Amino acid sequence: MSQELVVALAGNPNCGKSTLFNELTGGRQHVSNYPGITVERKEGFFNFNGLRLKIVDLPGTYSLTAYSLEELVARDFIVDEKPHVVVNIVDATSLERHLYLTVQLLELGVPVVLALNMMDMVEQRGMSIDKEKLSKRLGIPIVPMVARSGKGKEELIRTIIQTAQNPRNNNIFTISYGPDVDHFLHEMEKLIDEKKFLTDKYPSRWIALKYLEEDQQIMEKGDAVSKEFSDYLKSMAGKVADHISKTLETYPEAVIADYRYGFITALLKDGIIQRQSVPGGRELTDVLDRILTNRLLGPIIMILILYLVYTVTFTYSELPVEWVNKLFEWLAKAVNKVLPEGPLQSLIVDGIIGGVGNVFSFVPLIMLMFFCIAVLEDTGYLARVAYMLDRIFRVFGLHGNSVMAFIIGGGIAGGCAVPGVMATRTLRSSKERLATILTTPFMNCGAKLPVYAMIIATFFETQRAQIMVVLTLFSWLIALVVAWILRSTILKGPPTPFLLELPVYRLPTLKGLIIHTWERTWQYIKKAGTIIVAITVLLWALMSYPKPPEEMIKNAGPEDKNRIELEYSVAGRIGKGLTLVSHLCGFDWKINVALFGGFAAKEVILSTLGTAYALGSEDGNEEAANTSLSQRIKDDPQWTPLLAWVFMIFIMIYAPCIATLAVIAKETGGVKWSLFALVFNTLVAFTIATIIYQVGRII
Amino acid sequence: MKGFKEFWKFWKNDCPPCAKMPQFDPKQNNLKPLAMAESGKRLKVCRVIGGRGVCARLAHMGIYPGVEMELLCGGCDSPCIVKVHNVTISLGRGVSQKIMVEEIGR
Repeated sequence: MSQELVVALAGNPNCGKSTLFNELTGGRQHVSNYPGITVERKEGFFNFNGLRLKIVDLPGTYSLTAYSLEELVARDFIVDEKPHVVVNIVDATSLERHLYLTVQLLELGVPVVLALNMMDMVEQRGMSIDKEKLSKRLGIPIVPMVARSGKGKEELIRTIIQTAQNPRNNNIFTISYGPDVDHFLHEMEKLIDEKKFLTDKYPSRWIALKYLEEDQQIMEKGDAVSKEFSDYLKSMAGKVADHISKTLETYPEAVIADYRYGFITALLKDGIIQRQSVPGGRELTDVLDRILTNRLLGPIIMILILYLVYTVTFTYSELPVEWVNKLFEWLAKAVNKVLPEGPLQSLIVDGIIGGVGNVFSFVPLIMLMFFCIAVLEDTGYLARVAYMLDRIFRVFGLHGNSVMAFIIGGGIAGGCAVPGVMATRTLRSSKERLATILTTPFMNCGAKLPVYAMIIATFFETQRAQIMVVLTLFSWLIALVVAWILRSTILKGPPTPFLLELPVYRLPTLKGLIIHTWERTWQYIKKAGTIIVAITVLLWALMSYPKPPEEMIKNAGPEDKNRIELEYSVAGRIGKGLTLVSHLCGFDWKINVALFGGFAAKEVILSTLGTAYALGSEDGNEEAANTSLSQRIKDDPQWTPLLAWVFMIFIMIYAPCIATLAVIAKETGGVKWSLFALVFNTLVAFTIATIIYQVGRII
Repeated sequence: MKGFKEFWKFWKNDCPPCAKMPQFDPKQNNLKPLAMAESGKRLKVCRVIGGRGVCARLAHMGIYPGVEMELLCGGCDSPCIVKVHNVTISLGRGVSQKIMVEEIGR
């Protein structure tokens, strides 16, 4: 029997959905201890007794209304794609809150299996949950489990299959919303049933409820079916809202929430939850929070943690980076010996080994940086960072949730703007979101890191961690100032409320940390091995051809010959052309070519610079390949510490890479903002770089 | 030892700069915005002033009229932290001004 079962994983943010997904599919879905990390649904497969199960990890949501993109993604999937089973994962340590979503799923009438996650914590706190009783009251199967360790996984799979194969009518689940609301609901329900209004997709009572909540998406769908009837329902809902606001001075949503929580409280009565003593994780979290989020100590600790991350990364990556460098140097030497001199040797040694080697040698550094970030994420500390920075962000017209986009985009150094831009979906205001999207690429992503590392190693060897802290703070400053400018000019609008759950501090599992670190490092390596190689070869060709005519190099010595050849090439000419403007910030044509290449992907900057210096080296090819890029730059008289700073800052700010531009276009629904980012960021970068260079020269 | 005890008491009760927080006039009524409540108090939400969107989002995170919560760290110009339904939530200044609460002792 070959059959595919579609299983959706739904739950509040940070309840262990992604952990469970990884546990089930063995996939490397990204998991963190930060609410709202899964912004798109992810899919994975596995086989069990001849059955193929497709697991879909939905974004974490508190409810199934339409207040944000991730709620819509989750709801649309459940309603439109009709998964065979919806596994609702709840944090058993705070059942009251998590069952809120469960109740909504049941009201929607979908087949639900409840996975009681974090049962180990429940036991630790001396609590116990009467699973049978709860299951009976809710009318759905319940599986206790510990997603982190995989405990209860087998039983969950069996229950899923059982539920999918014996579907039962879940449509009978209703909650009373008090006499006032119930009366109206019932009336609306009857009318909806009569008209068969949207009932092919949703239960009639649910539709009535959504009209009461003024759910835009459902009302639009209703308008499309029958404007007249939809308007009638709206007027009825309006009456209820009026009534509620007069008698209770509140909105229907609050009344609905109140009754839902009331229902849950009643549900959990009579010994479903037994509490003995209280000491445990939550209390530890409170104590830690008292220190880590303290007004005075919090920010100091935050900076210290940042500093520690850089120190650890740079100190422990030093040796491995050197090894990889040596390996590539040896490779270049070996190839030089084997291959005859000519275009092929130049392509392999100068183009591929020189370029890609530079990118690859930073793998150990990137890996350590990712590991440190994974630790911060998994422990739950990053959510506190968002909390602490909200006050500052607010001043610049951003939102506390923008912090997360910044951090994923490389706020601590070593992220990527592509997921960073996607993480802005947790922002509700489109203007705040757009401002965040446009400023996230300023962060120091994993691709910029090797360039910094090389420059820092060349010019500021003794203060590496300090320089990284300065660069990080500078990128945030630029991002905030630009955001402020955008928010007070083209993106004017009121701020939206900041609401963020602070998850319980958890000790990260080694498995989780390794998965995260490896997942991100592998992406870096993959990119270096594919796109970067291709672009490096292309740029090598641009730097090598066309060859100058004989008479130009006839009288030149071997030293000038290489330089003339490089200048005569396509890239040389582009770089030369750009010096017309770029001389203002001190960039020569070699840097221009590298920056031009970096537009494809920021890693290319380093590889192109490597190629340019190898090709243009006055020592001749063989010698050049044997000295590192860092050494060659050090020997070049035009490179001063000032230029090093200008160069790093320009790279930080200028045009986002093509991948980021593509995501910006996708997330904003058009190329307009991508083009804006391309032009605007480059202009900002050029302006700041010029100012620093000119002022620095005077001083 | 005494110094430590003093420090611990201070530490447990409020975050240092909050000590000089503006006091809400209690004569008017016993309602005050969450932003002006004292750290460490148990509070009952009485009303949420504000648009339907805010109201609904708060409700979905467990903050709605009638619910009881504990203020772990008071606002004073930055987000405050509350514990409600056994979950810790931080609320921005704007929102916490819209939540009217009543003290219900400790």
